Amino acid sequence: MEAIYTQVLSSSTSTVNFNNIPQTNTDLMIIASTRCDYAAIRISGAIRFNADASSLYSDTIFAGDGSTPSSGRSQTNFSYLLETTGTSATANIFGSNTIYIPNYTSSMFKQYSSDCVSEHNGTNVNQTMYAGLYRSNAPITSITLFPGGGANFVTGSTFTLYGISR
Amino acid sequence: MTMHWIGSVTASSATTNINFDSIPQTFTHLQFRVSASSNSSADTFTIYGFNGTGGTSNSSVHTLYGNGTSAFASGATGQYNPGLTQIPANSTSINGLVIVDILDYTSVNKYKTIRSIGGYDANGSGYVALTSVNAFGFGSSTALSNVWFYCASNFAVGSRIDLYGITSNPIARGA
Repeated sequence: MEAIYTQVLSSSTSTVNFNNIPQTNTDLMIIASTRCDYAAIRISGAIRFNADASSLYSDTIFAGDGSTPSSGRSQTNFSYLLETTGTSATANIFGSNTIYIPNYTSSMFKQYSSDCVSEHNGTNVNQTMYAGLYRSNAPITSITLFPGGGANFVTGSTFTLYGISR
Repeated sequence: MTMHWIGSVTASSATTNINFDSIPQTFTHLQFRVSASSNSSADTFTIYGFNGTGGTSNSSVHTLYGNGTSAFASGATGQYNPGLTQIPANSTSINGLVIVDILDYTSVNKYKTIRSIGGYDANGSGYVALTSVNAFGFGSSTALSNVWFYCASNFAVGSRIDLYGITSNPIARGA
């Protein structure tokens, strides 16, 4: 396991990009500490690959919000794969996320998963497991992460891309 | 390598606590890997003692969990030793497995968010949970150097927790 790229945000940004990903590892993993400027306690964040905004993505979600479990699904031009705290969450609390992307150089469709939490000093906030699919045969050479609702990741959010080799 | 073994604690006798003190401040993230069982019946595996603050830790905890029959979610604030998941009775000869991640544990600008996933299956019973804890009472301006884990029924002999440090120093830049 080797760190490939790290980004520690010193200003707000709508997207975090990892470009020119080396094609020399077996799997990828992203560890991210996330907060955004969306006006809520939390919101999901999303992922795209290879700057591809076509409708080749889907995801399945299993989540709890502090009181009720739920499961859902979406099919669109990105996959939900992150939890991030928003401006209504207690200040200086960040979401915690690990994303795993196996076989990223494969010519098969790409499956990925994550376990993610947002946090807040209150009773209701989300813990979520995501499974996603990118229906492309292209190897993954770049990754874009962004919070939902048109929000921006804020200062102090950190993102590290790791390569894992067998 | 960016993932480094820091240390392990194995219970040599039944004990309520497995503690990690004086954690090095040289890594970016911490990961605890837990293989443990309860010395009595299945019991809650908890985290507390952020830098020894113990009863004043005042944490929030949120859990998504299942028991093989149904799914549940819960949340609470003001917790002394928030539960992460359950570990099995040692009479089953089965250890529970839990992975606990604490990102940016040396930050002096962030509250510490603990993310935990794990539980156990005991061939007819089981429990699995994704849990988050915010060490709110610990504050946001102190690096984390001590983490304690607790089982009210005692950790059974042989229960082990390994601590790893994860760095984020890249081998290349340019993203």
